[in-house]
Amino acid sequence: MINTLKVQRAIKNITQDELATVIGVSRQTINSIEKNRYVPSTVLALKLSRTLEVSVHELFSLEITD
Amino acid sequence: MTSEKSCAEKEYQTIERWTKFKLPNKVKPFGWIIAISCFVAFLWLAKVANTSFLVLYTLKTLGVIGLAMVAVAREKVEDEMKDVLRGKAMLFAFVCVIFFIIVTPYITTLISAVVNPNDFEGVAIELSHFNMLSCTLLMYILGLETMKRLYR
Repeated sequence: MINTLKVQRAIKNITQDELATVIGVSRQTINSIEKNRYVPSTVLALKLSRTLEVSVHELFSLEITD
Repeated sequence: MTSEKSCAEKEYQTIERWTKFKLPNKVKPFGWIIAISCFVAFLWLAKVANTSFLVLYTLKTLGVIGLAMVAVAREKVEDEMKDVLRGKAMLFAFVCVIFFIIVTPYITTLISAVVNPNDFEGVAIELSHFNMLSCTLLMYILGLETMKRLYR
């Protein structure tokens, strides 16, 4: 699964720390998601899409290998 | 139907309460201090001939309690990724302990055969529950800390 979290975050001009604080997770979690090391739960994905004001499909998409 | 559902719900809540149980983050440094000081004291007192069994046993117990305090202490920010990492660390510790239990008697036997071949009687040292507990907790803590660094 790939994501555009870093891009969307840059568009909104929010730091990893700020986004993490708003959602209630650690900065490491946001960083891991951006680096595709960690796949978030549905709840966290929905929280991210709500905070960044984009749809979940815009934020996360499946790769051909998935 | 309703009672069945509420009974299942109660069971679920009980399991959740136990699996989510964590000590406050402040406990972690105290756990390390207790574990390390007990380990050092144990190594020191084990060399002394007249040290009572009870003292050594108490030190070992306190050491394991210290490690357990570190293992179940809350992180500064607890989130779903930490839960996933805890699960992975627990699996890693489980595999390590199985390996430790299987391999250790052979290694100790081999070492005693090499070191003291004349007096060798095929010693297979039995692992105590303290060894296994300490190994599990240490591997869990090491695994968790390593993964936290990898996922930073």
